[in-house]
Amino acid sequence: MTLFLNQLINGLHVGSIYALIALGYTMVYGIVRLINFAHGDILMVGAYTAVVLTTMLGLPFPVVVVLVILVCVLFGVLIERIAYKPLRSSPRISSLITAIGVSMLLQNLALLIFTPTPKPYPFSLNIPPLSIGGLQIGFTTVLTIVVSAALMILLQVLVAKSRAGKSMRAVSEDYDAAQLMGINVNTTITFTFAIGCALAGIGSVLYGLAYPTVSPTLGSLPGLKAFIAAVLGGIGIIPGAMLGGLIMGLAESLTKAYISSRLSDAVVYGILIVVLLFKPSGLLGRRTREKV
Amino acid sequence: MKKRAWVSLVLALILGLSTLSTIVMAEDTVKIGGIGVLSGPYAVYGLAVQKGVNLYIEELNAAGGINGKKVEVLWEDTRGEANDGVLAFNKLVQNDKVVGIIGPVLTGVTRAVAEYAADENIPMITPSATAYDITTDRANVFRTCFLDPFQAVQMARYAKDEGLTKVGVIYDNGTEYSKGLYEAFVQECAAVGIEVVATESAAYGDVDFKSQLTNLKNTAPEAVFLPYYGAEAALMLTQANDIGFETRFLGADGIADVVDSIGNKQLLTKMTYSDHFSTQADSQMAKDFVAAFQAKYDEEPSVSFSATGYDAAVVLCDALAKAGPEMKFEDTIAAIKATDVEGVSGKITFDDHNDPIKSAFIMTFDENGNKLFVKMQNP
Repeated sequence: MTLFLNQLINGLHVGSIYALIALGYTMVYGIVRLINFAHGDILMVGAYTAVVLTTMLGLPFPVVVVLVILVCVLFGVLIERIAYKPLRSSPRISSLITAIGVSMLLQNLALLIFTPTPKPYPFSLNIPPLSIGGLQIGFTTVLTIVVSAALMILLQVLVAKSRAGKSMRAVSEDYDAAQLMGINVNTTITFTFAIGCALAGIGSVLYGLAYPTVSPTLGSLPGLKAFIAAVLGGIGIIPGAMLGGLIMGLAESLTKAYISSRLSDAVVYGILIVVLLFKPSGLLGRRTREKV
Repeated sequence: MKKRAWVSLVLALILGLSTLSTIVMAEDTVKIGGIGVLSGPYAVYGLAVQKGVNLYIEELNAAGGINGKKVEVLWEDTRGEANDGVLAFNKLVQNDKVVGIIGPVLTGVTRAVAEYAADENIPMITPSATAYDITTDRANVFRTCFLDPFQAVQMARYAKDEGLTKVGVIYDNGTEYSKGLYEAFVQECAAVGIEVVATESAAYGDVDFKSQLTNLKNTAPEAVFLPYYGAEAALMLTQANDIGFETRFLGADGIADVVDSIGNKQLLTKMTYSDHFSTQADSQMAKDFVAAFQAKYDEEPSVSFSATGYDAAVVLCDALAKAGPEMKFEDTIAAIKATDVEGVSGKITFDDHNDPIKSAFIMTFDENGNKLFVKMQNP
């Protein structure tokens, strides 16, 4: 029983990270109908930012976290302004290809600057695991789950209650009508990218603490998994991204633990295929979708 | 007409003199061919071998050479290409008439050259090619580095010597290195009476090992064998620490670079692994080697192929000395086969497959991530 609970917690840990990144995909998709393939690489940008700030400037952990988030936001906003905005009225396939291009650009820049040799993530929380009953839960795990849950609640509140959230919902519902109603669409889109990338920045810190090696392709795999999580939950729907991420994390972890590590990806993708067969718009997708 | 006669006369003279001079040269020196990657991205390995070999030859010549004759190593660069390796081999054997070959360095090049070497039946010792099949069915081809599975065998014996009775294993089922080590380790554990209580695997490229580590933790092994390279090992040590998994970790030479990828160096103190050589080795020969290397090249022999290169030269020269003044290929090969010498990387003998039976260097780390030599694991 303890073993099973431990494996569930392992799954929640991975799942929370997927969910956090999936939020970025889903929010951007909800607003501009663009799958931002460069989103996973923002994670990598965040990780290298932490490496550079710590090894070169020797800044303490909390300062680094704040700066990592800022750098990620800056990258996200710049990418949106430079690469996606000029293509907003072009066919969707153009933006999609641009997104893949941006992803490659970021990865290759990192390869050029930092070389392919992995670098250690500069921080590790050397705090002994918490014991609850017979359960031993790693501190990083608890931190990741708690932080992700808090951020998701915060995001829900932001989208539901705040003015910016209201305009995000309006833009996602009807782009032109929102514009007619006097909503500044450009600011709203930039704001969406900024929020998504801030989450990716926090995600990069949590990811770095859990998997402390930093390489130029660090973002590809979690990026892909998070994208699938977003699709699984229903792309464009915020609670869907969270649900999708958690399901993926749990499925992966339990498959590795009880079936075979070789099958973990097969099981995850299998779930995706089955869900899409029966519910093409994802688990939480509705016919009249409430987007973002 | 007259002019032409002069020219031919001069040419004949030059030709005659040059053949004469090679004969004279052949009489005073023993020529050994050295083949290795001395330029390009893999040059670090070839140059390490070259430095090791040249160091031994210099020492040998200072001590009188082989039966009073000086030894000369003729080096050829393969640039890491199989074609260049074969060209180098042909040049050394046909033009220079070498009595034996040290090299090549890279596995791919060695595989190609070994094919030709087998046809010529010339004694050849590679200091670094680890693929199993290179010495298979080639009585004349030897190596002084150990094979990957051999390290796992040594690690299992080390675990036995440490009094461990219950171990777990996690391996990567997508790489040959990891799988080979895993299989050899489990086999040797059965042979020496260590119980393997849990076996977990991970897919190639995975970064999350917490599920497998949690399963391992549940069986409470005294040590876990990780046949991985440094980057993955760093992830595993960190994640094991995260889930509160207190145990020892054992690994092979892939672990040597773990220190570059781990942030929390403290965790490395739980890691023990095997390597080909250590600059801290306690044998007198190894100490002398490190000191001489330092004096000659002004650097530490940090790439262990300097040591296996030195040993390749030791083995070949020892065999040439025993082969008699004519240094016939078959006599030298028989002498290498019967080798029983002390090298810098331990005592060397050869098995039926021409692989060395030699000591592994058991290593660990201090809390700052510096490598510490533990002991020699003798076969």
